[in-house]
Amino acid sequence: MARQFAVFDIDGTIVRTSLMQLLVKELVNRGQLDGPKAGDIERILHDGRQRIDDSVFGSYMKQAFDLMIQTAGSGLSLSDYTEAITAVANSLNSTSYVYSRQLIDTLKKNNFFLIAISGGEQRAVQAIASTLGFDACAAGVYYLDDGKILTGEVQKFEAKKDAVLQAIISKYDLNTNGSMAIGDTGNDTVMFNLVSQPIAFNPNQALFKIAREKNWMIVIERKDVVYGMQMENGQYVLKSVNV
Amino acid sequence: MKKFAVLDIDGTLFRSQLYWEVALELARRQKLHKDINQKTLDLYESWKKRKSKDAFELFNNETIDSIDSLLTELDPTEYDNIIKEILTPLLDHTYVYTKKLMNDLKAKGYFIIAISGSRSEEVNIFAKHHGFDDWIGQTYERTEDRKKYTGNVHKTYKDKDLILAEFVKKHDLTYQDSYAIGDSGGDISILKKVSNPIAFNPNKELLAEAQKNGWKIVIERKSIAYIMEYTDGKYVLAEAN
Repeated sequence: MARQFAVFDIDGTIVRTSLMQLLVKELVNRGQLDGPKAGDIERILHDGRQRIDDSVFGSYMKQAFDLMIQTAGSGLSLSDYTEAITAVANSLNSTSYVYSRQLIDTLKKNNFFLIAISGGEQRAVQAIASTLGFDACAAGVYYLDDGKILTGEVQKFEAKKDAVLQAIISKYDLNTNGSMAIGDTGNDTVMFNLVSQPIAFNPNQALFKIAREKNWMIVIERKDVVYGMQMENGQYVLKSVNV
Repeated sequence: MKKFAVLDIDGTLFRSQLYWEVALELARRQKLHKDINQKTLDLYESWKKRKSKDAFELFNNETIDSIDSLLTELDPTEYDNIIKEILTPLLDHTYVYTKKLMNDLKAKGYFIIAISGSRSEEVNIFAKHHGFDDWIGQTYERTEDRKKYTGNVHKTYKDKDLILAEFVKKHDLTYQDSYAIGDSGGDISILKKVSNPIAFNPNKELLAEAQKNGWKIVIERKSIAYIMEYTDGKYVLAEAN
């Protein structure tokens, strides 16, 4: 029988900030990026995430990457970059949401096929997915290299998360019935439409608006508390509070 | 008699902690005290990374305790020199919900009070900026020439209800139709006193008390405020904006 699946967004859903913000921090810690200049990159990414309109976040990521390559001076070496990714993947316990981690554990026990779909860079997305024991993943971009350094060129992949998810469903012959999708922005809604259990997690305004129209479950993690809200007779009711 | 609204500041109106912003910057500049500069920075890192469940309490308590125990060795002038510079760019770093509620109540003629566990020097700057009518922060008593701390501290993070009672008496206020808003266990005593208690982004301790009493719970996340009201034995999302 075809397996049920759960598809996760990564930035803002599994990790509290974004893969790129974590990578920039790690590169600064390792002395491969200059602190104050990295601060500018961090600001671009932070501002991008705070925007209500999701469609422009990709351009913020591109802008941040360009600045990262410039800042690295003589070039960001492929080995420095992949080592930083490994470090980021190994520190996930302290940079990820408690709710998402626990949900991943529960779903694994229930034999769900786990998928991560992110707008982030392929090597980083693969490292996170494999550390968390995901069965499949898809990234938004790939940073080209010449074998030694990142050249600064960016290869883009399919950006529509529903098309990406549909391809994975077909490839692995998965069952949408009873399946789950979890994300935090308007970009995730297209994959929510493909499953029977969508969860809007710490939704931004664009996602919240749609979630309310479609009666999707809303989960908020704030301080040491997780709130689960479900639609009942036309109103959201607080169902579970835990961590 | 005038109605009032009493607000906690750190974590309720202000997105960060006034005192931490200053203590942390002093530690970064190696000006806190040689024994605790690095320890403060380490504890802050472990909270940021949420290395343990009670990392914030550890950071909070250990840093406060260390500073308190070394108080007479610290130089208040370093602190005075730096405080305005650090706080000025941060003053409007406030939650949308609580700032709007405060403004609305102010427009309705409410007397607006801040009771904060941060130090009075920071609270003065913050409260004046936001137009509070009266406020109190923790006082670290100084010698007469103001160049040394005596070591005496007047605490304001507990027994907030007693502090509130003094404000009520001083300004001839009424608890009727009044508001109290806080985010942690230290605020429970003032929420119990008023007609309109609000648990804002509550920690576990306050959340448990709010649920027990059916107090309004408000969570603000990514500029959305979820306002939850207790009706017929359950919490219902009354409004979100």
